[in-house]
Amino acid sequence: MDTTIAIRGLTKRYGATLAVDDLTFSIAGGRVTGFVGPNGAGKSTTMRLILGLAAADTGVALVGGEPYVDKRFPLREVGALLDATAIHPGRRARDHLLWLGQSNDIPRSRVDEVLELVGLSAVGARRAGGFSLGMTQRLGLAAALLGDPPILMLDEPVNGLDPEGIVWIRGLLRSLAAEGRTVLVTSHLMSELQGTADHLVVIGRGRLVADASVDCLLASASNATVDVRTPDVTALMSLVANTGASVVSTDRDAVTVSGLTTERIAELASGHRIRLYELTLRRPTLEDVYLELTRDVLDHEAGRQDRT
Amino acid sequence: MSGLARRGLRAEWIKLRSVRSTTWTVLAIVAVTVGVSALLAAVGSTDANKAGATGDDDVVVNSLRGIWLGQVPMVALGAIAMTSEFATGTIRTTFTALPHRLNTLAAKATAVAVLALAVGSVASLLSFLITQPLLHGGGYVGPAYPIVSLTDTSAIRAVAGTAVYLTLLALFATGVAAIVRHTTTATTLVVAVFLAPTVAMEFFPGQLRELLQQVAPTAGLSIQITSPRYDTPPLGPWGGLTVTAAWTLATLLGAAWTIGRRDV
Repeated sequence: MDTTIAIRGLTKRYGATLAVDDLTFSIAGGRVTGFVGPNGAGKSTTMRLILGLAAADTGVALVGGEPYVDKRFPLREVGALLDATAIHPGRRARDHLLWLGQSNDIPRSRVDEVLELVGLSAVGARRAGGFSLGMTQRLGLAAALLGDPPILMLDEPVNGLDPEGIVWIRGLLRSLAAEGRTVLVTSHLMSELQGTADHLVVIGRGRLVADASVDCLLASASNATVDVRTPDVTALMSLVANTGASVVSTDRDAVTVSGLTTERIAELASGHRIRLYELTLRRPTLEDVYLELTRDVLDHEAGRQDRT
Repeated sequence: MSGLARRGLRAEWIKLRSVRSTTWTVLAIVAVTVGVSALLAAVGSTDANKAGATGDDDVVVNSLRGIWLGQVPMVALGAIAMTSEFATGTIRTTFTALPHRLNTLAAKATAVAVLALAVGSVASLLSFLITQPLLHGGGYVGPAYPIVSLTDTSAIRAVAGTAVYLTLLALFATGVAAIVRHTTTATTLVVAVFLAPTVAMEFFPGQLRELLQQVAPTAGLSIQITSPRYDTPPLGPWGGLTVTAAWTLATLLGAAWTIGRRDV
């Protein structure tokens, strides 16, 4: 069974805003793909275009080889979590899953199974309006998993979850991918994706910025830097500069070196009797890579959380 | 029924029965219709206010007058079934589960129709059964007003027709709601369309009033008439109901036209 999500030249305009601009990429099965981008980058719009909730101006989105809207039993093929809070507050959790299941001929027993799976068995008879954000998020996940689908599309699944819940969903996403499923997950927490995603699709202003494996992106990032604390700042700086590496002073007794390993710096310093109090290697994080990739296309100032 | 239609109807029925607003509106429809019918019957009496007086009042129409207020919660029932999906965002989940939007609209309309017909029947039947003795107590007795029983063809037509009229009204509201997608707008619009002509008629000259009576969505209320008199609309009971049905059909067609064409 084809479990890829294939997008070709997808474009969507809202008035003067080009929300999705000629987007082309493919999402393969058997791995967790992170779908990231700054605020307003077009992630949610892309999700809605894939699911046929919004109509693309041009381009196509194929899910498992066909448009989503052509599927006979879509919930058994694709599990989507767009906005977990988009739920009728007066409806009991079990009833919410029941109508969803019945719409796709999914047996009633599966409702209790997924409630158990997400840890909501005890509150299945409660109305969704009384749920905390974390519980609502779990109910949204239960709905996505209801049809045991080979493809999962989750928009900010960790949103509102407590630390325990985040660890839980990380394991869940990994095991779903390990079963060969296609797992597409958006998140603004890059650190979260670093432990979870195998592959990243980065978009900005509706355009594709990067489509590569996490390992590949980390490897391509700027070199690691080394933070050094020393009382002999001036001596160390001139010494490092002589080697051709770059060095900047960050404090009265601290410098940051790039282009030299920790070992090399230590050897240089001891050779010239320079005292070192601290020597720390700073590896680029996924966050660094992401910021570097999206710097040019940032719609909003850095540091603001991305929730679209 | 095809698998798709069956699945859609099942899902929509569960949705409808699993929210409290449905319970409240159903109770309101019955309570208001029956309550107002009984109240008006209890305080009303024949012109001469004495037993056996002659007159041309329609005791069947008079036993079902609570429908004028009972149709307001009925509008709410039909509208909220649709607008609650847009208000809560559930519409996206719905269209994700059943992307065939026309099928989903048809399923929702069917679920609303089944419930509206059942509730409308109860409200209409109870109104008739409770108010007939009250009317008799108010002087509506033979020979001018013989006892009307449910075995009379015209009485059955009036009682069952009232339920059908209420069902068409609920569906009209569902259709409008699918187009305007907002509870307040939808209910206001529908109530205005249904009540405004009635109010306006009072101020219009005879000929215009007659025309308005015949083309307004409320024309279907003529299904309640069992003894025609000078001011009876010329379209007749079935003609009037057909006018209401045409309004409902036109609205549902409009909803069918828009529902597949707009982003959610």
